[in-house]
Amino acid sequence: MQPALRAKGNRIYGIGQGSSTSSNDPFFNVHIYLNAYGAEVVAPDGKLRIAEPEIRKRVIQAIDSYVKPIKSQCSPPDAVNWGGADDNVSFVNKKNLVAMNPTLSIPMSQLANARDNYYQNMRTVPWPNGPDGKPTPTMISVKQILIFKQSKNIDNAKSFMKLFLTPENMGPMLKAMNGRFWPVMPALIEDAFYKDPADPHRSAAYRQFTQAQNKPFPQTYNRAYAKVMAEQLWGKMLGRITVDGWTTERAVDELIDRMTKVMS
Amino acid sequence: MLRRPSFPHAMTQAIPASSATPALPRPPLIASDTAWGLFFLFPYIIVFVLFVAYPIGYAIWLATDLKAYARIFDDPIYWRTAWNTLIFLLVGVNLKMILALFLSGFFALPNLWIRILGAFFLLPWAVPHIPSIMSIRWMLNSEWGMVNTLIFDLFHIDGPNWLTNPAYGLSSIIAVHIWKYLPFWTMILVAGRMAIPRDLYDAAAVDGATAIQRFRHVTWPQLKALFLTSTMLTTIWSLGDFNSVYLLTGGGPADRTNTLATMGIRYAFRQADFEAGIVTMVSAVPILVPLVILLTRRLSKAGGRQQ
Repeated sequence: MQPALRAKGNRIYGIGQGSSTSSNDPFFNVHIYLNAYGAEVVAPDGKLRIAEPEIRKRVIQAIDSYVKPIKSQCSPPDAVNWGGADDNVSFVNKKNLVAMNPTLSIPMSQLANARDNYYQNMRTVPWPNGPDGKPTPTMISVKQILIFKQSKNIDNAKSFMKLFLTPENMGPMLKAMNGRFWPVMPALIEDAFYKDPADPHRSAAYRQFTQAQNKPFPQTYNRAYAKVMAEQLWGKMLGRITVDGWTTERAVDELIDRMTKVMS
Repeated sequence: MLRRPSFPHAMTQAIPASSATPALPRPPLIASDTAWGLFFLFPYIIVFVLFVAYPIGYAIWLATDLKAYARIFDDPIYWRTAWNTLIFLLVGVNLKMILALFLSGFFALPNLWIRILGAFFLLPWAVPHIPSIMSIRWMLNSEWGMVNTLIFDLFHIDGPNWLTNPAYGLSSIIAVHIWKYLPFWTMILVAGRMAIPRDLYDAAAVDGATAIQRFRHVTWPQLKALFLTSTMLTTIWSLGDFNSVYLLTGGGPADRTNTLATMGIRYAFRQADFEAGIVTMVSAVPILVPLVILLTRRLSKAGGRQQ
């Protein structure tokens, strides 16, 4: 598709797939690839498993698959240094045919002022099935609520959170976000608002969230993994391949060393 | 109008009349000029303590965390960053100053049109960093920037990845740094050239000196001190040039174009490792301190000669 469009004079790329260290999207996207290949880098008991030979092999397969469109120049060259909103900007400016984005932020950006784009010109689809033919689990970004131990009104804060985190109060707030954030409460996700087939984006997200067994980020299992995210180790590893021209094996081995150090 | 403070001379009246010799007025504890000096110095001392001594002291205290050094030295990106900084300084500063030296010869010519051109030449330095460097970033954007769009429209090929190839990225940063600061240093050297006595050039012309000989035997000896001092000063300033890097490439791709200034910020605020951020900047001290010592020595020597 890319060569055909380019032959017509359109300077266009196949897929907008970021691999930078200045955005969290590649971190999110890489973990979806890891899910597709069954590469569980941190076990639910918090143990770091990335150095285990079988997991390492799966990580390499997942990363090989991730960098394939980038190395074959089917992704915009700037994607190696995209910031958080650059993938959205690139897609909306029709610079790539497909964008891999972990949220519905791209269609949401069109909902208010370009409803035709939202309903007619753009489509969201769940992640493709993994190599085993099964649906690919997406990542659930668990948000933490902190109440400081020395706060003056701990009881009031807890009471407020208890009230806020009920379907009756949480539901309207999430609906007002049009699906930018997704409910995890069964009572809310079954609302017709989320599965309405007339909405091409929310209904796709509904299928994604309900048809695959989704996973939380590894920092939920081991908080030290938050350092892996802060240091953008996955983005740096992708840079080794896409920018420095390293082999996937060498880049993944450097990642394993660094991750083991950072999390020890 | 300010009034000088008065001191209690009337106290002499309190001396007993039986005293054999009349007492001299007691000198004030502090001379009035000194008191006024201290009074006017006080706001500066407050500002200095709050905004210079305290932050530097706090940074030095944070920099005593030896584990932070181990953390940054263990990070492969740090060494890449240190190398980038060295290249940035060596190439950026020297190229900029050599260009400024030669351009100053042009802008020192007594011609109205050259003066007008000089005003335009100053614009990159005069306009704020954010809009000017951001506009260059947009021009050089590989995907939809003006330069590569033009290349695609004309030749149907993709242009170079100006900002996403580490070598091109660092070169672009150096080019932008030079573009931004060249006018300032050119004008400093123009001022230096203006101060060279005309007689020396006249004498050289009488002796039949060529342009190169005039530069070698008249201009350079007169300008050398200013040029070297300016070079040291701009090296110190360039070491902390955050804007040229951050606004152009953001340190990317994959942290390959960071310099110590941007990497320190990245450690401190993106990775929430404040000590690592501070020691990253402190690791530039081996370059910085000799430069500052040399600079102050040169300035004090120059001051001594003037006295």
